[in-house]
Amino acid sequence: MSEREQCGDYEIYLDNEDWWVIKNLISGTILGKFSKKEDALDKIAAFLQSDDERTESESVC
Amino acid sequence: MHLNDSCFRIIHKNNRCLLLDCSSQIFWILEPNSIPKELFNQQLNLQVLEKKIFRTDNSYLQKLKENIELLRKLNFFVPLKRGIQENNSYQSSDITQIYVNPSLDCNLNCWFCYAKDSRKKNKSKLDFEEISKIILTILDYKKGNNFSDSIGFSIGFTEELTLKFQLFKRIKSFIEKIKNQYEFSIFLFLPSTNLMQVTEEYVDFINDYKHLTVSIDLENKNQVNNVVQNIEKFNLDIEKHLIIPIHSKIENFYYIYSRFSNYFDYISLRPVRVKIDSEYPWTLETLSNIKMEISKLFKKLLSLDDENLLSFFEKIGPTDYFVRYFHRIIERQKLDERCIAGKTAYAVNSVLEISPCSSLSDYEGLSVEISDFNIQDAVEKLRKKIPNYKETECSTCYIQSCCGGPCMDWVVKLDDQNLLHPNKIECDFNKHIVDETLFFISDLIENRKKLFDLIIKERKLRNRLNYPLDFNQFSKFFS
Repeated sequence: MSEREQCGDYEIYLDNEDWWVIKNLISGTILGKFSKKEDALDKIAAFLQSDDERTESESVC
Repeated sequence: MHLNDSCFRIIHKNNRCLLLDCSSQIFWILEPNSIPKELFNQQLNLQVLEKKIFRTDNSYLQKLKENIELLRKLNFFVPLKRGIQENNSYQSSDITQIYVNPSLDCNLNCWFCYAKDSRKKNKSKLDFEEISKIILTILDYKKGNNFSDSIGFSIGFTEELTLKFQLFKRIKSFIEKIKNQYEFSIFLFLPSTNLMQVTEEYVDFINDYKHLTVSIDLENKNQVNNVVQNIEKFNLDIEKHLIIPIHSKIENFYYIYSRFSNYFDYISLRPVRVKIDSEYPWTLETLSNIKMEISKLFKKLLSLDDENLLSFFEKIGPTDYFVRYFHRIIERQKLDERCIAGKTAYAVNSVLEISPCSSLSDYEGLSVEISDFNIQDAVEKLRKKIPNYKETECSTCYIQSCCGGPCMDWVVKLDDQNLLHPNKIECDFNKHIVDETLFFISDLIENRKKLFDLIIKERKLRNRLNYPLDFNQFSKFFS
């Protein structure tokens, strides 16, 4: 992978201090910095799977 | 994660193939000719999936296997969690929606009417005093339990509003008068009308209210004519929504959507649960008809040019059954329950019985008499009758997040004895819609991305599918 890539709403890149940064492209917020690329990718996998914001309750049958 | 906990579905149709991860609701396009046919339209866990593609000379499958392993090592795949909430959690919960049905009076006898059976045996009516007492009792129940969620009242789901419009207006004034005594918000929703007859008073009211919902029986030519004539009596600036109940023998969905688009701003099609002795029963035979019609609809939509497809989506209503699956798939929504009926929503009928919804008012097994206007007591008794869906077969179903679980009304109407089991015909119907919608969306993303983005923008959706739909391309990000 190159040093800046996007998957879903998330972007991962290597910053000037050699941290792997995860950015949410929708909110523009930095979600975390990791020394190892594997850890950052692991986190993005978790974000994509996360159902925190996805849970809905139906109200009309 | 145990490999058996994961849930995948390989969906194959018309030489196209999708891999759906049921937990994340992320799906990818696969190369259909490389996938073993035995895997088509099967639900698989990670162990089975890997095993089936383990020994292969096919380079595409080799790559697929490597990428699945890569994502597994990253803990990308998580167990399929049941999205449906345990009913017990509602034991002492709030009431947020109440349908009060004061009578069964109507000037039509539609095939889909909730009150069809009750009307033959029950002539009781609730008067204004009784209705206002029910409303006050429920509001005081909320207040006494310190519940703060808003509550919506819907009056007259089993009758024609225009026949009792004075009563509705009186209830509206009553609610306006008392609402300030409560800290939570109170709403009164205007029910739909069949628009068979409209008075000047009703037209004035709607012109002021700015919204009109009409429900139409397509089999009744007289009603169709009346609707088309009477709709012209309302101001152009009011939002007009048409609900079209659909039955199992329906034909040509696209024509139905198009037919009324000159008269209404929004059109919602909704399948209706009817008993097996209905003129339009839900049976295996009629199911295959309606599935074919659904497939024809999606085929037709894909054949439309951008302008016509966009205008189709502009006209499709908020309660349309099909568009909700479209929304849920795009937003990867996880429905944690099918609906709030019997949990925080209830219906009260004209003989003062409480049930989970208006359609179940006639079902003894799911209704309770309200004695001496004691709502709390009746609700507690009713909750004990409502099945607990925590451990049904839905927990392993690949569309559980889109569907939300069983509907008690489908089960009751189709004469299934065990309320705990979802009705198989309804399940098959919903799965077919989900499958067709997945292919429809993947086609739009692949071939008409600009239009897809425009539809999402118009419908104010949160797109959670903005990743590479090609599985190997997706995995590349993580390599």
